[in-house]
Amino acid sequence: MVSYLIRRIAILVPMAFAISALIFFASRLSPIDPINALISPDAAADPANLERLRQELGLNDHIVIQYFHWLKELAVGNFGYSIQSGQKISEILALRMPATLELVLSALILSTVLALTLGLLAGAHRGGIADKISRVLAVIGIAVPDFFIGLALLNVFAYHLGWLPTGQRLSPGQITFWDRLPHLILPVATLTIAMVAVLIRYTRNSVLDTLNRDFVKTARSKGVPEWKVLYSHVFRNSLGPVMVILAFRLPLLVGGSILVETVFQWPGIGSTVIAAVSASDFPVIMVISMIIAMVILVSSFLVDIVKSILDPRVRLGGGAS
Amino acid sequence: MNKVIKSLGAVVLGAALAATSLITPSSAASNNSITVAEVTAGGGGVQQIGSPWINSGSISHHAMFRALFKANPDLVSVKPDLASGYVVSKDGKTVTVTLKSGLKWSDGQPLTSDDVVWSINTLLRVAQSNAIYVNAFKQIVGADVVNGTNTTTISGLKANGNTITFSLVAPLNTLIPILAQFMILPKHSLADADLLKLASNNYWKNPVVSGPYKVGTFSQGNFITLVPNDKYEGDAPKISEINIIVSANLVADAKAGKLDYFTTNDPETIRAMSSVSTFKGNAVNLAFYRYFVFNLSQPSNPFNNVKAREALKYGIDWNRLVPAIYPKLGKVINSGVTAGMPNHDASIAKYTFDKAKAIALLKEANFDFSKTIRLRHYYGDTAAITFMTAIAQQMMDLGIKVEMLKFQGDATTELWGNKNYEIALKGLSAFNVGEWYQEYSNPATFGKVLGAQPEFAALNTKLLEAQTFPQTRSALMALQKLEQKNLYKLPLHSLQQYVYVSKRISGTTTKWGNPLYTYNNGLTNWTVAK
Repeated sequence: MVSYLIRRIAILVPMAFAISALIFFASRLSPIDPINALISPDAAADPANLERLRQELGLNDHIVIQYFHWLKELAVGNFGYSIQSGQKISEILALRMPATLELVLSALILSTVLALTLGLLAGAHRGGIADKISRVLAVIGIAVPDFFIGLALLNVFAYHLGWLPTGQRLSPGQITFWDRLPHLILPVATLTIAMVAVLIRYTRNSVLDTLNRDFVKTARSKGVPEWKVLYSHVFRNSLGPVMVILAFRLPLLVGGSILVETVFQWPGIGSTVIAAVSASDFPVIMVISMIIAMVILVSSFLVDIVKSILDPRVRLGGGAS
Repeated sequence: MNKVIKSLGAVVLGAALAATSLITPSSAASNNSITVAEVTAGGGGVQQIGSPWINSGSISHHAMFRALFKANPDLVSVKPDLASGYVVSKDGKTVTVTLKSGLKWSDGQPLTSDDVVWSINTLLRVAQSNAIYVNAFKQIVGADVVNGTNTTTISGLKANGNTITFSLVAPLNTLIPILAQFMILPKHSLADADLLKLASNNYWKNPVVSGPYKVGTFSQGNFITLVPNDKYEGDAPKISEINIIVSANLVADAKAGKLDYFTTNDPETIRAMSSVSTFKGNAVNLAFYRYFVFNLSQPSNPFNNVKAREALKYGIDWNRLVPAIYPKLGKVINSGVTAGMPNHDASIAKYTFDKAKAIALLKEANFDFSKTIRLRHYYGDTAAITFMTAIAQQMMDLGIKVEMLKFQGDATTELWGNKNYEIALKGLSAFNVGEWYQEYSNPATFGKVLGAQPEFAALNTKLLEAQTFPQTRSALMALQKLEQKNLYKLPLHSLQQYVYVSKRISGTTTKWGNPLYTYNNGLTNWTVAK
């Protein structure tokens, strides 16, 4: 197991460097000049001021030096400045990350609980009410884009009925968690519907597979109560593949749901990405891309570990992934 | 198993009940407060208070910051604000401004002429600012050597007690209106700031201000609540809270009563707002131009001949196109001094659509029909893209090969650096007509595609130095004649802006001005119907 871990880490490190180089050099290929992007085409900014800023930001250095400088600064948590707003990127992340975590974690927990419960019931009682509900939810979640679900919920519950806020994390005069809760309902519901769909089908299929396994038949033939068969034998053994899906969702914690955050004006990482892309704010795009890439790498690593624990053949086979 | 399911169900149900019991939809209609939608950088909610040295027209800027003078909605005439008055010398080269006594910043520190001198010097050291300030302040004696690389101060700007003296290189008739836009910032809060990164300074999270309002609560990413500034020496404002938000859907928020004020020039929003009876829309005419820039630095550009440029005025049906794409907003223009403005030259051709005449003009210009014209723009909104697509289609109807694309890079680099275009659509939200004409002789921008323009430069100087109405008129008439003769820029259309105000607000100005600039909108007199 230890040698397997070392092998996976040995792949992880060069991959992280390769991704960082790709992000950095690809952004430098852009025809957008980060300093000229600061000023409007009518601006009369003193060229001496702009040149000094260019110098201060290291933009006059050789591109390879700029790359290593960027990596060094990233390592010490100095992510640079947003071109668009002039804010420190570390400040933007510190401000936006909690908002995204709040939204995505809530949706992740809710969707997982719902999907596992409905998936288990749907599998155990094939053709029953739970199975029918899960099918409807799965079809809606898969077939309808999350931004559309968001807009529909927004129009009905916020604009038409006026029961819930129209977006954002807080309204004027509100500061506490309880103030935030109504703002959370619609975006969390939107994300939950989108997230629950795949997981519910996956859980159901996994449960159906497990129900046909010999050990389940043996347990039943021994007269083990049905609830115990379902919980101790079926549910636990069905969880393995489902956990893999959950691990792959970890990058959402950073990237959030870009479209849902935009629809609900949620001040998280997703809406920051949209704003940064439309303003060609490359320093922000680069840092967020890098963080998302790192989380995806770490998630893949975790998936490999989970797989190797569940199925020892994976690590014996020399790192199949 | 049943126990587990029941427990989970109880948790979910409990959470849902707790949430619904707490639901209190936000509304703008709370006691004596208004909600204003503003556009801020960064996505999501309100991210930061932007520097008033870039744009000064938002309500938050109106409320918190002040200039030496307060402009009237025409942005030309002014009233005293931080200054009690001013005197211009006979030769127009010395302007003496007297600051009011006893002024205070919101933190209780005195606001003095030192703050004014520091602000003007500092403006020349920052990386981002509105061009009107840089262009005006560079006319003060000794300002040409002041920038972010040195600590020199403007020699022609002196403070003595409450008096500030501006010694100018030449008379500058726009100085006072521009000083009415330029917000004075507190030296004691910002003197040690890294000026090139001024926008990232913590000052903007809770700025020390001199206006009638100050920041009460700044929930970054969400909203700002402004409350009355008790150090403001003028009449106390009647509204006790101004909430600044970012709205994802202006029309829906306006309909839902969650908004009281916003400005827009988006055709869809304006169309939809016509059905919102709780708001009054105020159309504002302003010097917001959209026009073609020709890259004449490229010898093979078929539009190097003025007749080819003139052909576009006749060959495209502007009078149908502009109202179709910008209903209630766009107006076809043929001059920087648009029809209806004072000093408009009525003799300028109307350029009614005439395809045959356009083709004849192109032939007269020996137009190279085999060359593909790169038509570029930097706007990403639907209306602008539709507009450009329609233009490209009509140009093709004239037999011109056209490739229409949005610039890949930033507008400044693409227009004046890369110059990979024959025609580009540009916009200018000008402070005044002079700004439109100054573009012709700006070596850092149009100079890169037009070369030196001494005739325009001389007339622009005449316009800036004009001390009387006939002098101004004479300069503007001459500039219009020169513009028509050359058609270096092809004026296409102007765009109005709409100011939407909830009917529950009263006491506002009856004449609204350009929402991109600051002016007396009577904010302290606004009241809210209970």
